[in-house]
Amino acid sequence: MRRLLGGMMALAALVCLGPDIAAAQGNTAQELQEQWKKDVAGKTVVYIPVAYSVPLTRIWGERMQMIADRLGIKFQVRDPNFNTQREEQLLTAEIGQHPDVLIVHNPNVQVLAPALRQAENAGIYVIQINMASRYKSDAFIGVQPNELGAQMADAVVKACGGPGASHKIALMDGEVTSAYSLGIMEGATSVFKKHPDIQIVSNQAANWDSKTAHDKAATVLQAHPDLCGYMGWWSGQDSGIAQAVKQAGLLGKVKIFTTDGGEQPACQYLKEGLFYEDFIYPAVLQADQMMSTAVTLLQSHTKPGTMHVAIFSPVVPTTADNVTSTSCTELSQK
Amino acid sequence: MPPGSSEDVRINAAGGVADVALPARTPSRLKRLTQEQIVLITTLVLAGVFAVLIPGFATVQNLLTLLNSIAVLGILSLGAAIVIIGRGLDISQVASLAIGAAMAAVVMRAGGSIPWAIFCGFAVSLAIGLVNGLVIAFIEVPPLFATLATNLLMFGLAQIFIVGSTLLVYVPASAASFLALGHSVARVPIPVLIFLGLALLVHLFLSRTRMGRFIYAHGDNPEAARLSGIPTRPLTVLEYSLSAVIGYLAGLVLMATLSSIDTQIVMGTEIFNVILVAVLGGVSLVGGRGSVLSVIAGGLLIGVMLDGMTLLNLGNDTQNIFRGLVLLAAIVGDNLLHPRDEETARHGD
Repeated sequence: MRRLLGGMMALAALVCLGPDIAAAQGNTAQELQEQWKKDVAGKTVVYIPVAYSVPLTRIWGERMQMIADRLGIKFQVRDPNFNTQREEQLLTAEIGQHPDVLIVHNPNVQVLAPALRQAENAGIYVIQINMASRYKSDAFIGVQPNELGAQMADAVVKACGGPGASHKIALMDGEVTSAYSLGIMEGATSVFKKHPDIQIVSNQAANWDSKTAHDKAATVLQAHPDLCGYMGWWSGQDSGIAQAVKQAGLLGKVKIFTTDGGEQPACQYLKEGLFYEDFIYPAVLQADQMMSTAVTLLQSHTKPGTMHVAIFSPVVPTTADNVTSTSCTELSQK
Repeated sequence: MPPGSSEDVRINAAGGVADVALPARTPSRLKRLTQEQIVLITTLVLAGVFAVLIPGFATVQNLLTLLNSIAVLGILSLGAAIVIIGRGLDISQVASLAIGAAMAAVVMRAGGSIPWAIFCGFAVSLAIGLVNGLVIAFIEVPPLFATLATNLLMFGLAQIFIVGSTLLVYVPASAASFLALGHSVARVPIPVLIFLGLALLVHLFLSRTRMGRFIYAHGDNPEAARLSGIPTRPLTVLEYSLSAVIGYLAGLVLMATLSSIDTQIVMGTEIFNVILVAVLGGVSLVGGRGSVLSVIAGGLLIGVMLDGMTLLNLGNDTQNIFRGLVLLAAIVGDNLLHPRDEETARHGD
C-alpha cells in the first residue's frame, strides 16, 4: 500500500514538475551550445606530423579532418616529410600564424622542445602525440613504448618459452636511437632478463625498412631454422620478415610479433598466418582522443601551458582468432 | 687500340701511369691489379675471416642468401654502371624502380592482367629514362641536376596520379604468379638468377656490341667521340633509358620479394648505395672505365659485409664503423696502387 502511494506521488511529481525540468535541461543544453559556438566553432587546429605519407599519421589526419569538419573546426596539416629542420621551421611559422591548437608529432625528444614552449607562451594550446619531448605541454596522447615492449615480450616468452618450443628468438629493432625504439627495447629487455631460458640469437635494426628487415631475417633464418619467434617494432617493416619466413618455407613455424596503429595490410597478414600477433594501438581511437583533447582545452579557458594531461593509448593484442573487420583501418586512396 | 672494352681502357690508364711515374721500370705484378681485382681480393679475405669466425657462413645456402640480399642492388648498379661509363649520373634511377613498380602494382590491384600491369609499369619507367636522356642530351643540363629534378618531379607526379596518399602499395594476393618471382628454383632464389642473367646480357652489350663500345668512347672523351662520328645525343638518350628500364626490372624483383612497394624509397639514400657499388668496383665517375665485373665485385663486398655482420649480430654503430673502414681500405688500396696520373686526370677524378 505504501509502495503504491509512493508510486502515485512520484507520478504526480513527474506530471507536475516535468515541463520545468525539461525547460531547465533545455536551458543548459542551450548554454552549452552557445559556449561551444564561442569556444570551439571556427577555431583553428594545426596538425604537424613528422611526415604525412606514412599510414599511421594519415589515419590520424584523415580521422581528425572528418571530426573537425563535423564540428566546424578549421583543420590544417603541415607536412615536413621526415625533415626535422623543416618541421622546426613549420612549427615556428605556425606560431606566427597563431592557431588555437597545435597537434605536434615529435621526431625526437629534443629538437622541437623550445618551439613548443614558445607556442604556449604565445597563447597556443600544444598537444604532443605518440612521442613526448623534453617539454611537458598541455597534453600528451600516445603509447607508452616501454609498456608496449614488455607486453610484447611477455607474449613472446609465453609462445616460445614453453616445453617443445626451441626458446630461440630474434629481435628486429626500428631505428635504434629513436625514443620509441629505446622504450620498446627497455620494456622487452626487462621481461627477457627474467627468463634466462629465452635465447636471443639476433638483435638487429632495420631502420623501418622492409627490404633491410627481409635481408637480415633471411640471413638469421638460414643460420637458425629452428627459430621460434621474431619480434619486430613496426608491421610495415616486419612485413619483410614475414616474406623472408615464407620464402624460407618456415611459415607457421616462426611466429612473428609486431605492432602498429591498426594499419592494413597487417590484419590481412594476421589472417594469412604471416603475422602471429599484432599489438595494435588503434590510431583511429588516438585521433578521436586528440580531437577531444583539443576541444576540451579550448573550452577549459586555462592559460596554455598550465595543464599537463596525459592520455595513454590502449594496446589491443590481435591474433588470427580475434581480428575483425574493424581491427585495421583502410585509408582513403586520394 | 680503339677505346672499346674496359680492358683496353684499363691498360691505357695503367700504362700511362707507368710511363710517367716510373719510366725505367715495368709495373710490378701487384701494381697491375685492377680495382675490381682489389675489391674481389678484399671480399675473399673478408669472407675467409667470416668463415673462420662464423660456423655456417661458408655454406652454399648462406651464399645464396647473401646473393639474394644484393640482387636488387646489383641489378640497379648494372644500370647505373652503363650511365656512369658514359660519363653520366642517374640520381632518378630509384624513381624508375619505385614508380614503375608501383604503377604495375596499382594496375594489378585494379584487376588488370599481370602482363598488362608489367607493361604499364615499363612504360612509366621508360618515360622517366627518356625525359632524363632528352633533357641531358639536347638541353645539355648537367646530369646531376637533371636527374635530381626529374627524381622529385616524378615522385610528386606519382604521388598524385598513381599511388595516392599512402605511398605504400601492396601486390594483391591474386597476383600469385607474379609473386613467384621472389621465390626459388632448386633452392636458388629467382632474383639471383635474374641478376646473373642480366649481368651477362649487360656484359655482352658493353663489350661485344658496337653500341656498347660507343658508350665507353662517349665516357672516355665525349668530344672525340662526337668528332669521330658517334651520335652522342641519341646515345645519351639510350644510356638513360637503359638505366631506367633496368631500374624498373629491379623494382619488379623488389616488389615480388616483399609483395609490396614503398615509393618512399625514392626520397631515401638507396641511390648512394647503388653508385657506391659501381664506383667501389672500379666504374670511375669520370667515365669510360669499369665493367660488369666491377659491379659484381662491389656488390659481393657489400653482400659479404652485410651477411657476416648480421650473423655476428654486431650492433648498428659497430656495423657502420666496420663498413666505413672496409670501404676506405678498398679506396686507399686502389689509390696506392694506381696513383693519380696528373697528365690525364680530370676535374672530379
